[in-house]
Amino acid sequence: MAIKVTIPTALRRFANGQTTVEVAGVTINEVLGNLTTEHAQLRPHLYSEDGKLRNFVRVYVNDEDIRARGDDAAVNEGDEISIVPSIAGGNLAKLEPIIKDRAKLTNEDIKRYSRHLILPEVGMEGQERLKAAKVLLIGSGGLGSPIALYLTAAGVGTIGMVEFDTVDFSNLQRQIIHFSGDVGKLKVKSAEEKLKAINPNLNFIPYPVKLTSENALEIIKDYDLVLDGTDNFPTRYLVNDACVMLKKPNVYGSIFRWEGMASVFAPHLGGPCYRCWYPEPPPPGLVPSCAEGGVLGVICGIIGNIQANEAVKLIIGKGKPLMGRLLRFDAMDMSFREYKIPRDPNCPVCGKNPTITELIDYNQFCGIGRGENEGSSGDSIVEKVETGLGPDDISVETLKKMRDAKEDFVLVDVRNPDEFEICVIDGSVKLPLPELPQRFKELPKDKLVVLHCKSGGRSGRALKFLQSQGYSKVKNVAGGINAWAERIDPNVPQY
Amino acid sequence: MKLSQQLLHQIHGHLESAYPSEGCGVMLGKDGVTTEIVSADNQRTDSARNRYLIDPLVYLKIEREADKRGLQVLGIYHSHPDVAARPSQFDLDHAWPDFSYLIISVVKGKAVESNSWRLRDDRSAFDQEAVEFSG
Repeated sequence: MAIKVTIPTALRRFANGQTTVEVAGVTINEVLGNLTTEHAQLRPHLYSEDGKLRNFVRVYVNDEDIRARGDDAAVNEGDEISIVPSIAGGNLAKLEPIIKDRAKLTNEDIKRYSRHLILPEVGMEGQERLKAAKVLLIGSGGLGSPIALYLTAAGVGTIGMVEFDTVDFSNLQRQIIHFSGDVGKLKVKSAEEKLKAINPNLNFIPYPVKLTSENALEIIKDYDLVLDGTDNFPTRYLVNDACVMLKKPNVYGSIFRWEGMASVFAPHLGGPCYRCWYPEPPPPGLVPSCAEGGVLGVICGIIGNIQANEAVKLIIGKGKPLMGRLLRFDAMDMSFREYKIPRDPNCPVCGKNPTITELIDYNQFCGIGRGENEGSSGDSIVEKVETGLGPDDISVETLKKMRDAKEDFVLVDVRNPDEFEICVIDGSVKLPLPELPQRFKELPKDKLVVLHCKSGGRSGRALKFLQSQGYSKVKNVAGGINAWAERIDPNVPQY
Repeated sequence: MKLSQQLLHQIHGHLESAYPSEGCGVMLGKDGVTTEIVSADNQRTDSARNRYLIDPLVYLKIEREADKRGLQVLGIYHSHPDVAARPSQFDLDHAWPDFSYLIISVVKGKAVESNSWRLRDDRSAFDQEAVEFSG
């Protein structure tokens, strides 16, 4: 059966200049398939790489949109199929400011922000929006530090900060809002002192709690936008889902070793969300945290400031936001690369038919149990592990007793070789976690194997692996070598 | 692409009146010379400041009418309110081949720049083309 297909002007060149073409077929799909086989040059304009009709191609059968009946519907003798361009375009760069309110500037403000006020894109209008803006920072660590400092200096009127942690010596290499004298202080307290020193008029709202599924919506709902400075997957998914549900832009950043990434997630503004890009978290342990893998402190400033920059643009509604795009920075090459992140129409939170409509258990979703790092900054694992020992855990005190009693067991250090240089527990066997799958047979099955790492996360994963290989006598040192250094041997440095 | 100065003024007038929304329309003509324009309603009322969309059925009618009269759809014009007359990624993603895309930058309600673009056959980019005045 031959069906008449009308070719739009724009595509006639690819169909030998014809206005209509007769093509065989019994369903719409088949007709279009045969058409693009016969005139192969038509194909890239009608179909995307994944074989779907492009979203700006409309197909009508006798002036009825086929989306109503589906493209596998039958066609009958005498039907006429029209390919119709949906003529669309526009300028993605143009965005309305997300802050509609404006807060009047005082004379002191005008002096303070004069370099912004003479910048045409900011001006009085932009500065008043910045002053009216309510911004929430998740974390006051590597990323949260520069974000908080720069946004405060830029004149953001209200900054909320969710951070339960206290300042540790190991934070100071990158968390530049905290100083040596702050060690031991609550991070929100330490941050507030610095931010108020920059701008005494800042409205600072501390949340010295862990962000959870129970409190996230309640905290985030009062803010205009969120900057995610966490370094763990459960909190990242929690922040994403809560922001999607509350229609708040989420400015994302992450750092690891010598690399960093940033993007803006805002489905309500037309962009994708974090789940469109990463529908599911990687298996626990595949992506090491900064506490395990290390991070160059300077990177935090670079990525954090990209986030702060995007926040300012969203607030004043200028420029092209980092939406639908992922920016990846490599400090070793000193190069930036940009990747497109398309919106996923089937995304479980921001898609057409969302299946996640309320916050879930994010630790469970990310496959993380007790003993893994669940913190927002990745640095205070010791206390969390020590609050209760699991069936496979032993404390450093027990380890000390076993060594003093000269019990027969093998102590295995699963940290990376670079960390062996910093400190070791005497007599341990060095077997880095990445080599374990190849080398585990070096360990005896008939003897007790005691595993340790820096603070218990990686050795916990090593324990699960050994158990899966039939090792029944395995224990994990809760808190790792840092707990050993803290409570047993003060000569061992903590890091 | 070729069109008369008078037609360009007519296009500017339409897009200035659409400001601050994006305006759009279809250019008809023969042998590469635009001889008339049909303004179209922007269907993107949700985001009219940075998007335009011509109802496919409206477009279908315009094209059928043109075919009957021996005219051709030569291109599409639309405005970029308060930004440059350069195609966006969104324009590229939605572009059709063999059309002239005339983009007019309308700043504070005044048409300030008009540039015309054509899609490459491999859809990888737009190339700018000269706007020539006829008669």
